[in-house]
Amino acid sequence: MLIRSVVLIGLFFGTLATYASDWSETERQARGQNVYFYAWGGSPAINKYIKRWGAIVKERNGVSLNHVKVDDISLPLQGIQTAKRIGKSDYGSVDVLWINGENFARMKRDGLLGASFVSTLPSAKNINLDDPTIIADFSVTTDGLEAPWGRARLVFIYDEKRISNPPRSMQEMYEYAKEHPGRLTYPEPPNFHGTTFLKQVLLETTQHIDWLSEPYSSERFDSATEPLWKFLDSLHPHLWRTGREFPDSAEVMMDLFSDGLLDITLSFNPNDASQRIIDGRFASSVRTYVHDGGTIGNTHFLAIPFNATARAGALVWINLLLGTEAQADKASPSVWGDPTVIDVMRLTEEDRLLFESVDLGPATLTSDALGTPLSEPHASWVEPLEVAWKARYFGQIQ
Amino acid sequence: MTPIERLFALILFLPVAGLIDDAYGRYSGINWVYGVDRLMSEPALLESILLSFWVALLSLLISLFVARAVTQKVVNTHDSPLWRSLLLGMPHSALALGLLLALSAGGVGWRWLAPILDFPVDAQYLFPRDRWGLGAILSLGIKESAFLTAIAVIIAKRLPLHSYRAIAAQAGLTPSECHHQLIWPQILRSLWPAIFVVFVFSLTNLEVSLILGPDQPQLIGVRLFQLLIDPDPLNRQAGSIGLITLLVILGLIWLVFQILNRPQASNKRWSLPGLDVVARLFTISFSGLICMATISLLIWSVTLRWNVLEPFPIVSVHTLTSIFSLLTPFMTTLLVGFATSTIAVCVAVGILEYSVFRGHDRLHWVWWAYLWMPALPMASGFLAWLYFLGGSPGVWPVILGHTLIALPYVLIIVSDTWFDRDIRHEMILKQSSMSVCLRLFRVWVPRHSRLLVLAGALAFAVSCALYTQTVLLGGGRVETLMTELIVTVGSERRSSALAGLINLLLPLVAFTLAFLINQFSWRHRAGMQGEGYADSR
Repeated sequence: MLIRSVVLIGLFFGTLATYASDWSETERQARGQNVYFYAWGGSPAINKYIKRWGAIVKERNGVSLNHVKVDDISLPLQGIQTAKRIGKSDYGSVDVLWINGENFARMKRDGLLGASFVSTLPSAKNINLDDPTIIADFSVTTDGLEAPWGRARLVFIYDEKRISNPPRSMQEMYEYAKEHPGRLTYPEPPNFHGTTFLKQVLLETTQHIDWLSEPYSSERFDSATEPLWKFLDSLHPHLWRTGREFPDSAEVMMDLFSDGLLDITLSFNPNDASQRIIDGRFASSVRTYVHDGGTIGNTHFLAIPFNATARAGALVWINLLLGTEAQADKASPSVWGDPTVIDVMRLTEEDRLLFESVDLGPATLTSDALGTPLSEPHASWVEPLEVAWKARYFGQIQ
Repeated sequence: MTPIERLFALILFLPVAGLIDDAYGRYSGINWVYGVDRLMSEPALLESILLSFWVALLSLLISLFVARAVTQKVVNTHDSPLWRSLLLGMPHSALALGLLLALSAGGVGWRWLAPILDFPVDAQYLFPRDRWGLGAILSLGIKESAFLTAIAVIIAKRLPLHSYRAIAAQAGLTPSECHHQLIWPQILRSLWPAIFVVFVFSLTNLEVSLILGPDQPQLIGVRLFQLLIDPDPLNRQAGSIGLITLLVILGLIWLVFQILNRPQASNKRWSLPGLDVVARLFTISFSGLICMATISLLIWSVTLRWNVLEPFPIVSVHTLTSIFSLLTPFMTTLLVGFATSTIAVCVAVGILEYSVFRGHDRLHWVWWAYLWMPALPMASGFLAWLYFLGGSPGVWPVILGHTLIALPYVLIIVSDTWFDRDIRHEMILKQSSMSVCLRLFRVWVPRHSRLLVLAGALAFAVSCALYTQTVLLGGGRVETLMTELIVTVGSERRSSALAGLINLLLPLVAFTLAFLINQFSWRHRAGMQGEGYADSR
């Protein structure tokens, strides 16, 4: 018994030592590397956050971080695909990507991601990797190929000075639109937020919700989506600009809302409204709400392509971003307001305080008020949904 | 065709070859027929195509109409070219963004006009991203009329205007009739390559279409771009097939332009008294819109929020501190722009002198062909060749891509004056036993320095305005003010307005600098301000 205990303890410390030395080796390799981080660059707050932590990773780990601001991640993705096609497996131009579930599914399917890495990150110990929104991204298992970075939740934003009782379901939203023509809209799919709105309508209207967590099938598509199209057909004439034009993005919707041209806007960040109140872009009377039946929630991730030039530097950068300090900083609405992926119960009391002391602002809902998130439909449903929306409404100008 | 022109023709053909390869399915491994099927299954494709041709044609006609009137004024009054240069240097996308922020519902212009016109300030209307593409036509009309005017003035200066005027006066024509009846048809005959440039640009541009173009469906350039950058190989193949088809159609249109350009005798006397007034109205409106666009960019770049029912915005000058985040793109824009203009001017001087040496007195069509080629196939084709040659995207490929676009502009601006040299001077210089290089650097470059500096400023402005080349040949890593602007368009309004404003001002600074350099360097050269042909007057 004693011998077995000694062996087990030895094995445990041996594993720990190997783990530590592996990570030290990664850090050693990363020193002096240039990491190209491709991420959406449309938000000054996010850009500032990345810049500040880029300076920190340079100071602490000697890694030079270059934030490549993109408006559409398709372009770098195409570069990675080209490299795969011509068999060029090193010296890729992208080291880290901030991707959504749809692109993750595509990259995983085409073998564009490197080896599984999440469990090798020291910071991952504070994350519950068994969380359903982390195990799967758009219903596709992540298998440690992408690291969770932040949490997203579809929320609706209104001004309590203008609306006392916002619509809390899609049906109520339709009633509201009928009574207040031109005061509601949604971003144009395939914009990410626009597609999310479509998925939310689909989840609230379909009779076959269980089909959506399974891969897409053309036989099921029509009957699953019929109520969605019926709903949109009746909603569109009452929308902003009578549904003949849609805002390009949620950011454009935010501007229209701020100008007083829309009554409700949407965001995939539950702290977004608070961040904008602090920033001065929204009036202090702006608030957030979710639908009674729940709204879509997921996690957003960071991935390393198979041909990354600075893989060690990429790992170090991701590890830093998943660390307690960076996550707590990110969660503050005065910085970015992106909810953490850390399981705070795993932290020491001192670290937990970092999160508890974050002032979430007046417009942020408590986790009780947010309720349980609805799961995203399987990633394979996204493209058919977008194509069908385009086929139905493109060129159908009244 | 000289060997240099052959080389550049080959460079131009290479991207098309890459595109054909992609369309044929060598990379995707999918038969091209499926690509055609995919393209044809795009919803509302025909509407997109018709709308794009409508936008291209109408903006071309407006630009021609305005250019015709402005050219008359400029050649009659010897107006200072500075204002035209400023408008010429203004990036399309910055102007388009300014117009969007000024004219759309909730825009600055509407907020100011609505109370005067007694309309509800929160009214919703579909402009400038309207179904008829009028917003895009407006923006293209303003910019392209400046381009056509600039080229038309260069052409007009080569004509014996004094003789035309004397003959017209003897025939009892008014100065306006003289311009429309005698001078403009002559200009038009030489203007057709520029007209075709405007048509192609209006048909295929991305930036203006994205910002001011209609939404459902979008213009064809945007839709092909979206297909080409799609991660799905079949979509990319469909995009390549679409672009090749577009190039073939453009070739056919070029033939139509050739037929239309045949000399036609007309006895019709131009006596439209309202024509000049309408043209004047156009130019005044355009000037007002440019001012309003600039003011809108300035206002939105410092505005925190502005409810339409409130008379004034809540502003914060503190927001201007975000200008520091544009420092890196600003420096890169300067570096790329300066390198592009220097290389383009030097190469242009070499090419022009070589053409003179070969006895040419006109610019070869191949230089115009660079401007006829839509930006997207050119950039994506270069990228394919870059990979093929073992290179990778970066600053140098971006500079090369920018130079290839800026070079024809420099050649067009400088060529007429360069070719129009006095044969007696050339003979004297040859007899003086000076070497060709010495003649070039001691005589011809200094004599044309004024125009070369202006052409350099134009090349700088062209470089500042290029997006597709920068993003594709830079692999997304080269951040310029233009890439910043496009990233922020459709996202945070304050940031995009600020990026647009700086993008708008940077080329203006270059032109002002060029103007000042010329004023300073030519202050003691009285009688030589005519760029070489002064002595022959």
